[in-house]
Amino acid sequence: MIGSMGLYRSRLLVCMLLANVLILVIGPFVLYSIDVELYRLLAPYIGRLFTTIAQAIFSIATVLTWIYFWRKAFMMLFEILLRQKSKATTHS
Amino acid sequence: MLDLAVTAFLSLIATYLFLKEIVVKRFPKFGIVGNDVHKPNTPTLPEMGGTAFLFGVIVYVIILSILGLLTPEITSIALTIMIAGLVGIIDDFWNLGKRTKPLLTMLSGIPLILLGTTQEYLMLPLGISFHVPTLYKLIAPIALAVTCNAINMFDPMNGVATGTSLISISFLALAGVARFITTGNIDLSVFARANFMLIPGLLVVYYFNRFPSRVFVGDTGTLSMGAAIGALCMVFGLEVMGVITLMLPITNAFFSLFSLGRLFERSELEARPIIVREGGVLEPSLDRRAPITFTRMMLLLGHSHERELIETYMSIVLLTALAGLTVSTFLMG
Repeated sequence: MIGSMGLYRSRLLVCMLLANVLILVIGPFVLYSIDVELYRLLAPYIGRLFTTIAQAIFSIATVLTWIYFWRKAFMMLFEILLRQKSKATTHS
Repeated sequence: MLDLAVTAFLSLIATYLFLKEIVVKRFPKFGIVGNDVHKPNTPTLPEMGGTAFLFGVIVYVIILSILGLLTPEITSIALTIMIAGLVGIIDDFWNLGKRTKPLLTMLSGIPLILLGTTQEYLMLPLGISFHVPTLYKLIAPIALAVTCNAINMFDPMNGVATGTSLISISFLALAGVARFITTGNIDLSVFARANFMLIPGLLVVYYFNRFPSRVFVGDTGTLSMGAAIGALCMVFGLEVMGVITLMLPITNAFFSLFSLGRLFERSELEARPIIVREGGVLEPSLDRRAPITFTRMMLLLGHSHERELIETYMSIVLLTALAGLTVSTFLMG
């Protein structure tokens, strides 16, 4: 009972975690599909080696972007909560 | 199957007796104790309860080898746990540095590499797989360092690390059985041996470590449990399930490190992330120098008591484990 109430209270964190699960499920498939398309588009013009480099750069950039936004969202939530708590503590 | 069940039962008894007779009764005499800082009167409890888990694994492996049921997979998982446990014992006694500990936990990947028990294919959701036998072996030590230290950093309150490990391994067991039913792509007899080695010991350790704790598991326990989860995932190809199940500990470790911008030891923190008030009421630290941990976030969200926090943690871990089981069963094609 307390656990479910606690889950409700922590729903923002839970949503962030579940969003991450969704990205883990869909992400590799999307990334793989884009990499295949990149290969089909670039390989005839710049060769296999440079296409592979382009795919690697794209994949790493995508993963880093995901981590950046994940971190940003978490930090924003933390800042908002910390500000609210500080305000509440000052008023009381 | 009966011999496995008897072996597991004997290992459970061995773990229980070790905890009751040695950890609880003898360890305090040698000064192996710690204070429960989240309780109003900060009681002193025996430390290093994780040694009982290691003892249970040793007993299980010995009996299994006598019965001629020991396979390279079980040997490599047991050795991985032992190496991580040894690092934990050293850390509990002499406090390894913030960089040394993660580096040493990477050594626990050596048995998996030497015995060649890691997977050759990296299976991802929605039917994507890569044949990466060499890369897999190179990544194994890093992955083990991540799981070991994620569980190690996720021990903020009574029974959280042990409960998380127990839930994770139980759901990994379910995922393995589900995979056997849906694809037949797992050796169920070896997989059962691995789970019988881990779950009984974990159950006993959790029983002693759950709120209100009678024993702390120490780094010995947390590192060896993290290694057990990591090794189980890599030997039986349940990596995605493992990552999803350990989402909470990994996120906690990730943000703690990010908020300080470096590796750190608890003792060198300029400000603690949580404050204990009279009557055991917990409050989040408003000091910006404190690391951003999940517990601090949960306290900011309105939680205030240890029991409530522990139950919420366990609920979230259960939820992510369920999500992992669903993905592993229906979306791994």
